[in-house]
Amino acid sequence: MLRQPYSDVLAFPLEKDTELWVLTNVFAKTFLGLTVEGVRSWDRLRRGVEIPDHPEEKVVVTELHYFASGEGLLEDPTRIRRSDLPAPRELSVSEFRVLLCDLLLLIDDEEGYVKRFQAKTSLLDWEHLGNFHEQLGQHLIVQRRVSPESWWITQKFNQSLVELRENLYGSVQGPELVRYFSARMRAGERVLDIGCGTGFYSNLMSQSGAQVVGVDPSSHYIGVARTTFGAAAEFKVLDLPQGLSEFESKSFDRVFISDALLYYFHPIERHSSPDLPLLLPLLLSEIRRILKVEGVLTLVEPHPVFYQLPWLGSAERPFTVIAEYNSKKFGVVPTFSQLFSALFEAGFSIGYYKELIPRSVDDACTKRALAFATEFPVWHLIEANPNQKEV
Amino acid sequence: MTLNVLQSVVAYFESKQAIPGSSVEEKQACNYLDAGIIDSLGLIEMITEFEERFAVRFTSDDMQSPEFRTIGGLTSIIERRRSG
Repeated sequence: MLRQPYSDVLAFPLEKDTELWVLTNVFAKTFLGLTVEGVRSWDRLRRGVEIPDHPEEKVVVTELHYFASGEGLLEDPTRIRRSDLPAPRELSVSEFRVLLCDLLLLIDDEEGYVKRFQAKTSLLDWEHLGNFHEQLGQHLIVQRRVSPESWWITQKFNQSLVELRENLYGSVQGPELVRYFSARMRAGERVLDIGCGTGFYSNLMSQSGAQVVGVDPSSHYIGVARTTFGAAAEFKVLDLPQGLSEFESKSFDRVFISDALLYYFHPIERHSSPDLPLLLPLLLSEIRRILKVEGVLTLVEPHPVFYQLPWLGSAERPFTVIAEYNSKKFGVVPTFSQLFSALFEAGFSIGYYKELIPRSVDDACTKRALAFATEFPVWHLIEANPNQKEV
Repeated sequence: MTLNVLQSVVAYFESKQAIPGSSVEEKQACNYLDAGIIDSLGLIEMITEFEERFAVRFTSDDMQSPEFRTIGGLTSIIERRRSG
């Protein structure tokens, strides 16, 4: 018998004035558009009421689910097409059942259903949903056939690579960091930008008067960084964190890391191989070693609670559904406690903390993105200072 | 299964790493990702290589089928695409 998976499925109207309802599995983050009659048909099926497969019994569905993050990490992660909706289709009851099962809006086996939320065993594993990075990797490599490395650049920057795209990168992260650099960096400070990517923030720190060294394991990114911002900073390909050993102790005023520390808590390859050792303690102890006594570690990382959650509700009054915080079956960002504990254990204290939210509503970014990021910060910024006492 | 397609597919994987098993049947049953013959990034290269070599285009459904994950299954899909 088919049934609803636990109570994991919600139904809500897509927009204020529309007749289209949406069913979603809040753990699987799947969505299906239905008429209110379609929702009633689903409701009967989930309660085990058999609907005869009569030729005249049709259910109207709008297949609006898609992998929204493929358009960019800061695009609306709600996996709903909101414009250019596909035309509604009429399905027979048996076709409707199959579609509901595909989207995990109905299941026939609760034990099997729970197993679906395990890590993917490979990029060709479609049975297990895996975490966000596994889903993104599968989407990019197998379905779009693009390398995540080149995709990452185009989803963050405009073609020139000297401007952030007009999404929350361009409306929140970029301008907030410009303000931060000008308010809290001293002219002439020596900065190490770890995981500098294509050097965008290395360049901005250099414009604020810092002497910047940018390091990244990707020779592709460092090549782009040298071509684009080579006059502003020194860029080096470096294995991380092992390669940091080449820097002298107490040689930097600041270490800067943006959108990169999370990988040290949940390395992509460790999700399916949990026995791999974490490199996080080595990274943090190396950072503490190379920082001067009065030095600062500046982190700009995705917010532990809200990263990659659907932006539901009206554009100007969004809400989200939090289905996990600690378990990280889908999530890839450390919890507050994991992040702060790691810093404390490595001998740092927190000196400054800020959640980044948009300052202005007339940005080029969409109203929904700005409203969501105003209510639920997408990033937080942390300054950690080495304790004077050795650890 | 046409011998030359299978031979060509097997030769591709063997150029990366020895396929476990001594018989053709064992090699056909091999799951090349689980066996570590190719990794995630090698997957793009493999897909592109077979599409060019056999002038076929894998669909999303092809890649989502369990058949796609074994050497024998992949060969069958290539043959169906070639004759389709």
